[in-house]
Amino acid sequence: MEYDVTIGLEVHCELKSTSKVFSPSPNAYSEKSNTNISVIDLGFPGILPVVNKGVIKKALTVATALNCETPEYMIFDRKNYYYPDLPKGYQITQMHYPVGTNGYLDIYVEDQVKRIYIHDTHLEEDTASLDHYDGYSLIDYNRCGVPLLETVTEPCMHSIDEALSFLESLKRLFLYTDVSDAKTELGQIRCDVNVSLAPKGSKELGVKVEMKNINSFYNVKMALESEIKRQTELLNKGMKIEMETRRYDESTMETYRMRSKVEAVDYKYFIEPNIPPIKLTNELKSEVKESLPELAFSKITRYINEYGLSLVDAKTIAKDKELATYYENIINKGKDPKMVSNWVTTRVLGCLSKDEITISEFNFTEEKMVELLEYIESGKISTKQAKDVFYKCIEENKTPKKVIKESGMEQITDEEEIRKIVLEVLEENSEVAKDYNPEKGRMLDFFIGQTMKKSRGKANPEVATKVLKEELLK
Amino acid sequence: MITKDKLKEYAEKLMFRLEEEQYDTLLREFDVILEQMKLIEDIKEIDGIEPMTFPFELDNVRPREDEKIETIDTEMALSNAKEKIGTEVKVPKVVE
Amino acid sequence: MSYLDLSIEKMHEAIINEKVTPEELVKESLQRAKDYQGEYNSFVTITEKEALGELTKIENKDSYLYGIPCAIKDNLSTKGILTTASSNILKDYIPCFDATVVSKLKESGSISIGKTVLDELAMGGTGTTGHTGIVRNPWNKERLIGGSSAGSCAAVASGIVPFAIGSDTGDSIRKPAIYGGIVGFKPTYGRISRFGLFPFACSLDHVGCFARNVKDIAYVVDAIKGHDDKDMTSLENDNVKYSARLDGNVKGKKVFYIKEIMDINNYEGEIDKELEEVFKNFESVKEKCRELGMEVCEESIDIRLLKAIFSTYMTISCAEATSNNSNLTGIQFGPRGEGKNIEEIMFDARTKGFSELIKRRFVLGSYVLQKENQEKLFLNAGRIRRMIVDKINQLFEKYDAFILPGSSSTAPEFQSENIDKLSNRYLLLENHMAIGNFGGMPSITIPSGKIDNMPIGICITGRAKDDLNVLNIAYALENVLGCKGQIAGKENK
Repeated sequence: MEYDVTIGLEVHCELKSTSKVFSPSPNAYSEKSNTNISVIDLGFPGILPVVNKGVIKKALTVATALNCETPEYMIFDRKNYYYPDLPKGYQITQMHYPVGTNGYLDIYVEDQVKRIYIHDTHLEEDTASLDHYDGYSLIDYNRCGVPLLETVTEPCMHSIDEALSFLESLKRLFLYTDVSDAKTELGQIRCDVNVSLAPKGSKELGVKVEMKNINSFYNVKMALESEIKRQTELLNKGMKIEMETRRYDESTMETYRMRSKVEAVDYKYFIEPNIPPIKLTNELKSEVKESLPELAFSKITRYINEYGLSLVDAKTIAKDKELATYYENIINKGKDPKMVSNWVTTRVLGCLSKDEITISEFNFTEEKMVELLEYIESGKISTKQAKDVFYKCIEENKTPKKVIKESGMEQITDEEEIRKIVLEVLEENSEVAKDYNPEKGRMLDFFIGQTMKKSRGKANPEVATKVLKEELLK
Repeated sequence: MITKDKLKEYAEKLMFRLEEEQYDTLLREFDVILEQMKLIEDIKEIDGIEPMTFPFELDNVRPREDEKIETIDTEMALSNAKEKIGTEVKVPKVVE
Repeated sequence: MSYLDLSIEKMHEAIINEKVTPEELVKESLQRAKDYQGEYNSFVTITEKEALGELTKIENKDSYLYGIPCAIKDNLSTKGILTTASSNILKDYIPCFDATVVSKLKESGSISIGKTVLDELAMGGTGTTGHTGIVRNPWNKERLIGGSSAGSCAAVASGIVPFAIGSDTGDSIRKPAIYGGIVGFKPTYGRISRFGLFPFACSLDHVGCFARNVKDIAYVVDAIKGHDDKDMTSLENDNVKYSARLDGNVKGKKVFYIKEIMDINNYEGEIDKELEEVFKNFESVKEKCRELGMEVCEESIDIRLLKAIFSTYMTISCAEATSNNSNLTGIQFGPRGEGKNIEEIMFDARTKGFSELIKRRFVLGSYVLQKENQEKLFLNAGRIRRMIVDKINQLFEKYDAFILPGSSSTAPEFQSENIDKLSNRYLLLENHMAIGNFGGMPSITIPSGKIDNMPIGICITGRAKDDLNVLNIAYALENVLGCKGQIAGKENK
C-alpha cells in the first residue's frame, strides 16, 4: 500500500559569540575539559543568569531571515528536568514567547520552489557534554550555556529530499547571516526529526514518531529511510504505529525506542523570574532587518532570471556566500554573466577543490579575472590561450598582463605593423607574387603561411589576409 | 482527587522518597492546602488578568554586552565535587 | 556598659575617637557568639579565624561600618567559608565565590563573625528546621524566634552583633524581627543584589537586614545597596544616602491600615488576651502617628483577596522553590548519594539531604506546576498576586505607606504547631506581610511594645522604590514608641 510521508524538523544550531548566552565564560571549543566555565555554568546555589545582548541580536537576525513574527519583549522560560548534563536542574529556554514565530523559508527542491513553514525559532542554552567510559561517565561543563537556537518547522515536508534540501538551505542561512559556523561535524547543528505515515491522499496525518538528537544530515537521511521503512512494514502488516520517541543508532542504521508518549516528561515550564522582559525596540528590529544580506534563494532566482544561468550553476555559485560575492563583483565590472559563470563553476571551483582552499584564500583575485576576460574580449588572446594564462597566473601568482607579456602571447592586430611584414614577404617572393591569381586560393594560403612564419605566429590571421589581398592586387 | 500513590509519583519525579507515614502527613496537608486553594478559585474576577511574574516593571533592563569573558579556575570550580577523574566530574555510567 | 551594646553610629564614633578598636569589638562579639551559642544556637559557623584575618585588611575608616562586627545568614554565598542553607544537602558545601552583598560588606570594612542558622533552605517561619538544631528566642528560651532568618535575628536581639544580614521571601526578616524586638527591613525588590543568595523563590526573594534601630538599618543598606550587573533584576542606583536623609519629619504623611485585618469581629472565637493587647498596642501606634502629624486612615480591601494571600504565597513560592533547588543532586557539589546508577545516586542524595517538610513543599510546588494544574493553581496565584498588588498600588496614589501589626501575638512557644491554618487570625493577621514581597515594596518592622516582657511590633510598607520614605516614617515612630535599641535581657540602650 502507498503512504504519504510527513516530516517535521527541529534544528538546534550553536550560535557563535564571545561569551556564553547567560554567563561570561568563553563560547569556544576547548580540548581541555572544564576550562571555559563560570560559577553560573555549574549551577552553584545563588547564581543568576545575565543575557548576552549580542546573542539576542543573532537570534533576532535568524528570526527575521526566516520571515518570522518577532515579539515585543525577549522573555525566557524554565524547562525543568533532572539529568547529569543539566547542572541547574532546569534549562533556560523560550516556550511562551519565542524570538520568532509563524515564519517560512523558500527553498529549491530539485528545480521546484517549495515554501517550508517555520512554527517558531527560540533561544536556549546548551547542556554539558558527557563522555562515556566503561562503567562510568565523565561530565565536562564547557558546553554548558553555549547559545543554542532551536528552529522548529511545521510538519510540512513530504519527502526525504525536501527535508535535506531544507536542512542545507537552513545551514546556508546560518552561514550567510554569519550567526554560526554551522559545522555539523563539531555538533554545531543537531536535529530532532519527526515523521508520520498516512494512507495516500488521506486528510489527517498519521501517528507521529520522533527521533532525537541526530548529528549529521547524512544520518537524518539514513534515519528517515529506516524509520519510513519500519513504519511502512508495520502498517502493511495492519499494525498500529505508537506515538513515541526513538533514537537513531549510526552503527546499525536503525532506530530504537526511547520512550512512549505515556511516559512523556512534564517539563513544568514557567517564566524565568530572574530575567525581566528585555524590550526588542523597533530600532533594533529595523537595524537587524537592514543589515540582513541577500540570501541564497534570492541569489539563485536572480542568477536564473537576470543572468540566464542554469539552476545548477546558479545553485553552485550561491552555495558559498564568498564565491557569490566573487562572481557578482566580476559581473559588476560589466563582464558577461554566463561567461563568468563558466569560468567560476568549472576552472575556479576546480582549483579550489584541488587545493582544498576557500575563495578568500584563492590568489586569482576578482581583479585578475576581470583583466583576463578583457584580453579575451579584445581578441588579444584566444580562449585557448586564456586557459593557459589562468593556470600560469595561479601557479606563479602573477597578473594575466605579466604572464601574457612574458610569454609574448599578445597578437599583432595593428594593420600597418602587419603590412610591413607582408611587404617583406612579397619582396622576398616577388617571383611568385608576379603571377598571383585570386582564383588560386592556395597561393594566398602560401603567403599567409609565410606572413605568420615571419611574425612568429603573432600576426592576427584575419588582418594578415586582408592586407595580403590588398597588396597582391596592386 | 489526590491519592497516596499520586503523591509517591510526584515525589519520584522530584528525585526523592518519603517515609510511608510521611506520605500520610502529606496527604492530610494537601487537604488543607487544597482547601486554601479554593480561596483562590472563589475569586471569579481573575479571568483575563495577566498572571504576575515580576514584582513590578523594570525600566531599562540591560543585557550584557558580548565583550569581555571571565572564567573560574577549574580546580576551584570542581573542589566540591566528590568524585573526579582528571578535570572532569565522575558519575556512574549514564545510559541514554 | 560595652561599646558593643551601642548603636552603629555610637560604635563608629567610639572607633574614630579611639575609645575602642575594631579588634576589641570583633573579639567581644566573637566571645558573645561563643558564650550564647549553647543557649540560642544562632550560628552554623562562627568564623573566628576569618574574622581576625579580615581585621588586618580593613582600612576604609570613613565608612560607618568600618570595624563593625556583623553576622550573615547561611544562605548567602561566602567564598571559602562553609555555606549550608541549614540543610544536610549542603552540609559540606564551600562556595568558590562571594555573594555581592558579602563583597560589599567587606568593602565597607564590616567584619562578619559568623554564618547564621535559618529554616532549612529558608523555607519556614519558625527557626526550628535548620540541620544544626532549633534557634531560641533571647527574650525567652522556651519561645521560638521565628524564621527563616532566625539566627541573624537572635544574634542581633541578644547583642552579639549590632546588625545582621538576612533574606525575606514572605516575611522571613520581618516576622522574626517582631518576635525578637528589633528592627527588620527588606528594601525594594532589586535594591540589594540577589547574586549569591541561595534562591527560595526568585520573584519574591529579597536581601535585607536586622539592626536595633532604624538609622543603623539605613547605614547598613547604604553600604550594601546598588545596581549589580550580575543581577538583571537589580535596580538602577538611586544615589541617595538614606542614613544622611533621615530627619524624622513625617508631618502630612498619609498612611492607611486595612479595615478587614483590623476588624476584631473577623476574629470571633479566636480572640485571646494577646490578640486584644496587639489591637490595643496598634491603637496607641495610630495615636503616636497622629501626634507626629501623620494622617491615619482606614481602607477596605476585598477580604477574599486578603484571605488568599497565604495560598497565593505558598503556590508561587513552592513552585519556584522546586525548580530553584533542582541543582541540589550531590553531583557537582554537596554530599554524594550512593547507588548503582546516576538516578539512584541523585535519589539517595536528595532523599537523605532534604527534611520531610522541605520535601512536602517541593511536592506541592511541583503539583501546582503540573500541566493539568498550572492554569488553575500556579497561574491563578499569579493573577491574585497582581490583583492584590494593583489594589495596594492604587491606594499608594493617595497614601505614603500602610501600617499593620506584625503578628497576632508574641513569639509562640515551641510546641504550638497546632495553629489552624484556615482561621482568619492566621490568614489575615499572620500573613499580610507577604504583600510586600508580591509587589517588591520596601517594608520594615519595628518593635512597638511588649506583652509580659515579650516584644511585639508593627510593619510599615510603602511604594516600590520609595525606601527612604518608609525608613523615615519608621525612624520617626521608633523615637516615640520607646523600644529603640533594646537588647533581650538588658534595659534599653
